[in-house]
Amino acid sequence: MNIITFNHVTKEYKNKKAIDNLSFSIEENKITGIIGRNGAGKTTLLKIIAGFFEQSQGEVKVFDETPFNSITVSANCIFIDDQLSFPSTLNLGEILDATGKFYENWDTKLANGLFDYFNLDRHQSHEHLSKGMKSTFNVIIGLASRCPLTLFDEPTTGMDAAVRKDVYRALLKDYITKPRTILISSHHLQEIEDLLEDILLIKDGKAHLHLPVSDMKEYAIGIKGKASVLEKWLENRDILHKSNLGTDSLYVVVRNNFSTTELEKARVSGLILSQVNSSELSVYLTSKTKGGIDDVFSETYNW
Amino acid sequence: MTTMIGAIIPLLLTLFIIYAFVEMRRKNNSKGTFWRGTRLKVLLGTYATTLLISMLFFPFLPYTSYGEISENEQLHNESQRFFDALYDGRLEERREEVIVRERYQFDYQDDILYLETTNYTEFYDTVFVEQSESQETIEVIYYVELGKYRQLINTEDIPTLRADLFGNRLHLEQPDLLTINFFEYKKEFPLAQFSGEDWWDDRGYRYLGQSAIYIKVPEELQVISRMADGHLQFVR
Amino acid sequence: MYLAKPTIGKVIKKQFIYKLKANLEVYATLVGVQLFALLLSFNAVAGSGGGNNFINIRTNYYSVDLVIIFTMFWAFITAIILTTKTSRNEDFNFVTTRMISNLSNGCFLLTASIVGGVTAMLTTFMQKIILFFIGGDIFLLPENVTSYMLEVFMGSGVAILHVLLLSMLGYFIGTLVQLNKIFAVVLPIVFFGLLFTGGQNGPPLVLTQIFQFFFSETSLVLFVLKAILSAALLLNLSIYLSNRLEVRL
Repeated sequence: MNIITFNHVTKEYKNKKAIDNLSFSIEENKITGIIGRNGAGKTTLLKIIAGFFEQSQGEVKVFDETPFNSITVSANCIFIDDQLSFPSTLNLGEILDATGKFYENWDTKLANGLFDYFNLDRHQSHEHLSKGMKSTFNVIIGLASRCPLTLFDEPTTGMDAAVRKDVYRALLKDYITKPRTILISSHHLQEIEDLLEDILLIKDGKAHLHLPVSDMKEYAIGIKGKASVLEKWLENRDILHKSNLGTDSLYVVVRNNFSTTELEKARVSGLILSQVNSSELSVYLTSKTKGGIDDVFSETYNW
Repeated sequence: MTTMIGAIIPLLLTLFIIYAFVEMRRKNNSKGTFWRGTRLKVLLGTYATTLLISMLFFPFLPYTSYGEISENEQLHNESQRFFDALYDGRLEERREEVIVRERYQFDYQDDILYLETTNYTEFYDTVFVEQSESQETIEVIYYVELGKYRQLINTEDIPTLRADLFGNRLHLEQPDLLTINFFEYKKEFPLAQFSGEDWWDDRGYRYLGQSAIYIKVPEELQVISRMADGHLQFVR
Repeated sequence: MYLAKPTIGKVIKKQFIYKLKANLEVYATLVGVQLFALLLSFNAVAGSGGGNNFINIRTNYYSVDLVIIFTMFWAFITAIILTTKTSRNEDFNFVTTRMISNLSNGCFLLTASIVGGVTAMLTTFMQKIILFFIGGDIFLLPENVTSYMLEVFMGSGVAILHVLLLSMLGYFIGTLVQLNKIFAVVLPIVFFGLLFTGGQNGPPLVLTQIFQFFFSETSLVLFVLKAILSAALLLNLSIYLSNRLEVRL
């Protein structure tokens, strides 16, 4: 069953399209990573799902309802980011209590357990927390509310590496205990790769790729070799990345739709084939140009 | 004593609040809210309690008011009635309104009596002289009518006339002015809006009262004023 | 999959209770505002003097009109603060929709108006007690204390409506400003424009007419109707206008 369905959705901001004719759907009880560069439209996408924003065109369905002004979506969906702010009159403990009153599945035990583990103090005020602590606290709220649809927008902003690891582990463990649909946005796939089942790659407000993480490994192939040999191979291929290695060698990443025999031939003709890991791939897929940052220099200085 | 405490609490509270606001300003600079948690609840509780206590004590404040004021009691009429009664010699019949503040009596044998005062430009009362057959002495009476305030002012508090006889000179000394500050409530606008009455009309210029110096002398005595013109009136 | 299906009423109640707690500090401001106004109201609202040959009377009249007016300003500002981006965003931390958010704000402002109106009227007793001790030579209390107190209680109801009207006006204005920042400039200009046009020989001032519509109404029933309907109208307009307003921008 699809929890989220986007059907040719466009969101415009002052004549700029943050989301451009986007269509996809997300199944129940999956953890999906929304991957894209800054400004690709990840946050806009999540906020449309949460019902904060209204799409300019197209149709959005969350739990079979239009999320904007839907009480069902609001009651069953929580959106967590580092912009979350609470009234300064409430301390952390009171914020937890208040949140618990709103969400039916709220798990007080889990909230308190995580709260103590991450050394938070009930009497602290939210605005006095450090950036990392704030993010940790927000994640605790996101997890403990146990909403059927949980949205995390860059949840680990400001956290140090050890806390990040703990947070992701907590997320995974809690997901296993109580499976639900989780969307995590990040511009950094590597960090959440092990957690994810599906990946939705977004570029310029468009869905670039939507597939299981396991398929990512097979999606592309890296080929290294002499430029003259390679050029022939690359005809009619979907080149994702291209960079120069020395004067006459090239490294390219292409869509892997080669047959086994073709790959065998390549090896024979002296090309070195390599697997492209998913985080590397996501960087290539979401970059503006095929050559990445190298293009800037090659075009500017004629390298 | 209890009402005393009821009055002091809000005063102290006001001072406390001023202090608290200064304090809050100071603390607010380092972000965060000063009024939160227990501190906030104590503030609100104290305020609510003070208001309630004030409300409960209010009916027990010593009760003062004008008392009933008759409808025909208007400036012109009242004044007229006072002087009509005075000319008719019936002033003392109006015991309800008119007070004999002071009464002097002097034995006197001469034929001429001079009336004088220290500074006649500041002498405002009119002196009424009644020459009567039955009178053998000189009698100086200071009549006071309090009008609107008759229920509020003690007779003893009204400054009185001094009269002394030096030879054939009757020396009169104008009483001091009694200055009184009244504090009166005015209905708040949500109350006044529907009562249909203009509170100002109701309280404006009511009759404040009159006073008169009344001197009774033997019929054949000649009274000569050394004061300003018009201050001496002969009755009958 | 099990989905929570809360009713609108339940969520409004939750949001309302949450707001009471989260915005409790507005009452600290109220205490400050009322005490400040009370301090100012120890200046007589009116005075009259009179005297004759032996007596010189000075009468000062006191009321807590100022406290009520300040409380109305407080409600106006409180309502505007509720419409700001931060407040709206904070609503959407939890379960809500735009309508629920607005309706729970309405409930909150109604509660604030009740608290504000009643406490403002009650300060009259505090003022009179203090005046009794620090005041003049003779302090005149109402002719009939019981009926005055009853009148004050009834007046509290009227004060509540005055405060509510101002808070709903503030809420409406705040909503307009949220829709378009240009209102933050336009509305004050319109206000001062209306303040200084007309009058004299021309048609009566619009503001005066609005003012008289409420404050010169001498029928209690009509006033209650006018106030409640106007407040409801303002809230409804706010709900209607902000129903497509995006949050967490």
